[in-house]
Amino acid sequence: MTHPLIQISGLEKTFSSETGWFGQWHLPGFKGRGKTDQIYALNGVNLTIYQGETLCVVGETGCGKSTLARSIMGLDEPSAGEIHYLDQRIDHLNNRQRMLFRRRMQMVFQNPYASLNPRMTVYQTLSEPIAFHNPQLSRLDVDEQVETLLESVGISANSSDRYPHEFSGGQRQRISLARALSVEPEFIVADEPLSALDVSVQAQVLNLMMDKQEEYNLSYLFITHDLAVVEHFANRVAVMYLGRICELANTSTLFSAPKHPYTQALLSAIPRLDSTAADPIRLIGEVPTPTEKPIGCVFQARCPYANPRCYSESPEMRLQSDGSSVACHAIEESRL
Amino acid sequence: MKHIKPDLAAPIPGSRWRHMLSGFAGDKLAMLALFIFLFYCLVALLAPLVAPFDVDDPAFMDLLNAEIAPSWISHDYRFLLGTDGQGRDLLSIILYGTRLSLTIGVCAVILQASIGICIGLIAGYLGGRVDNFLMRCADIQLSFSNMMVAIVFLAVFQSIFGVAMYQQLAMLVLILVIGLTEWPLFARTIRASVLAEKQKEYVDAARVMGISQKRIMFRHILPNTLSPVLVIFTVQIANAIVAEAALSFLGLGMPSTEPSLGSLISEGVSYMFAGSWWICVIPSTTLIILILAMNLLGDWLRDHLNPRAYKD
Repeated sequence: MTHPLIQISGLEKTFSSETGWFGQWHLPGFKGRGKTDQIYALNGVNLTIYQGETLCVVGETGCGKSTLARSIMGLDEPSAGEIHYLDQRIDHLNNRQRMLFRRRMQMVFQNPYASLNPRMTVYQTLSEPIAFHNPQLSRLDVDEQVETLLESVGISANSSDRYPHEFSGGQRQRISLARALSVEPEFIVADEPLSALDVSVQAQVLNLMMDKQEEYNLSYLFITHDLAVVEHFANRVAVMYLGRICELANTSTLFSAPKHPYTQALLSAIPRLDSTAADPIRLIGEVPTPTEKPIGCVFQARCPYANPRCYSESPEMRLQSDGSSVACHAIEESRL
Repeated sequence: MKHIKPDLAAPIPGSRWRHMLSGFAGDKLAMLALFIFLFYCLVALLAPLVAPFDVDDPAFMDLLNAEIAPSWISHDYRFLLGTDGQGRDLLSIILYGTRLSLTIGVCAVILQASIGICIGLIAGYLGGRVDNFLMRCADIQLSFSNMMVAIVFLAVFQSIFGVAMYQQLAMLVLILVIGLTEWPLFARTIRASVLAEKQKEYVDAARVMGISQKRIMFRHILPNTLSPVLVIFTVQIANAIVAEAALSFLGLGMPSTEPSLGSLISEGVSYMFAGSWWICVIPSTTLIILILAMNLLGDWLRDHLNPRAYKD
């Protein structure tokens, strides 16, 4: 539990939205190109994921959760910063070098309707990675593995010749999970795996993920919007805002004593049956766009406690007495 | 609404092919088109068996029999459809001509499709500069009229290698010329579908698995982009046959010793005003029916493979 599996330091990702085809030919000495728009998706993320834990990442739409996941998996190349897997740096590897880590890290995607190839049967979908990563296996061994894998996620093995459109959303998400598990990874990134599912089916998939975690000692990076799922599922929670992590704490600590003003506002917005009286904290101010690189604290524009320092200086993550880490000047200065 | 049958109420489970076949059976025009196309294919394949005369026999061409009208006019029952200006049995040479035209059409389109699919997949999947370069190549190719390229190429080929050499290689050269000039149509269609497909998560999932780019392109993305290609494929075969006929008509296609439908029409035109209309009209009708059937099939496939297409 205390052994760090993945360490991310200073991760940044900038997307540039160059539209014209001419702009892609970078002619030497030709400076007349128009200004390109930049999207700053990640602005220095530091995060450590420990072996066997479930780290949930929450935050509003467009705050860089998915970009973080894709950067870890190597689907997007980070602009700056480092990602370490155990003691090896993995963010700058090419496809061939990364192959060693493909088996250890896998991903479950958001949309079960798009994440399975519609022209491949379940058998083809599952046998491809198994045969690809274990070329020594005979065809019979692969068949056997596919069968056990399907049974282990609660899908009968005799439906392996069906196509994805013949399954329900929950079944498809379980097949997705089976595909991720097919290479026996240690670490799974799940990018909002429940958001496209019905609530009753969400529980089914979530329980399956927890069972598998126990069985294989998996670590999860779980991205979600659903705070109820976080409370139920996570060991630790990272709250993201505009490409930075503003609070990182154990689940119980975060839910009982949220510290960052954004976390407080976020948690107060959960509808509760027991306290109808409590008003949610209303954030005023404009939701910032990631098209400009933020100067100072990312939350400055909507923070009720912001002072001049917040507009000029970016807060560092500071360890608090109860074990959580918060990036906020107000807390550091004990104004909050 | 009088045709509602009770057993049609339940949706039929099963593969898309079965769905297509059931749709096919309901469309009489498509059935007819398919039947005609299969008939042409069969006749083309079996031409040596079906043809009443052996075209390789030196006695086949006999000027004494020249310009005999079809049997229902001349009552000469040796030649069902009459003979051409050189005394060849029209039915036999039409059968062989159909065989040649179909072979050239199908081979040329297979060539077009393989080039177009590879270029379209690479351009769409890799994107960026590769995409720009390949698509500008396609634009340049499209800006030349296909017929112009073919005429220039065939004329140059004939003048360099001589007519004798050309007559030997005519079929191969025609396939190459027609095949190489029309690939951008396939490339653009495939590229557009690939751009849509590569955003989907199953491609990311395959990348995360470490599957190679080549395999992702050809095994994962390509099968999902094939429906529009099938439609273009049928229509392009019709176009290629027409292109070959046009080139032959201009004297740049198949030589008259080994005539395709186009060269038959071309020869027939000069007899048209001499009263021997059948030498031109019968091969033309054969060609028109073939092209019509191909286009009907293509239309039908487009309707059924693309559920988003407008239907009234």
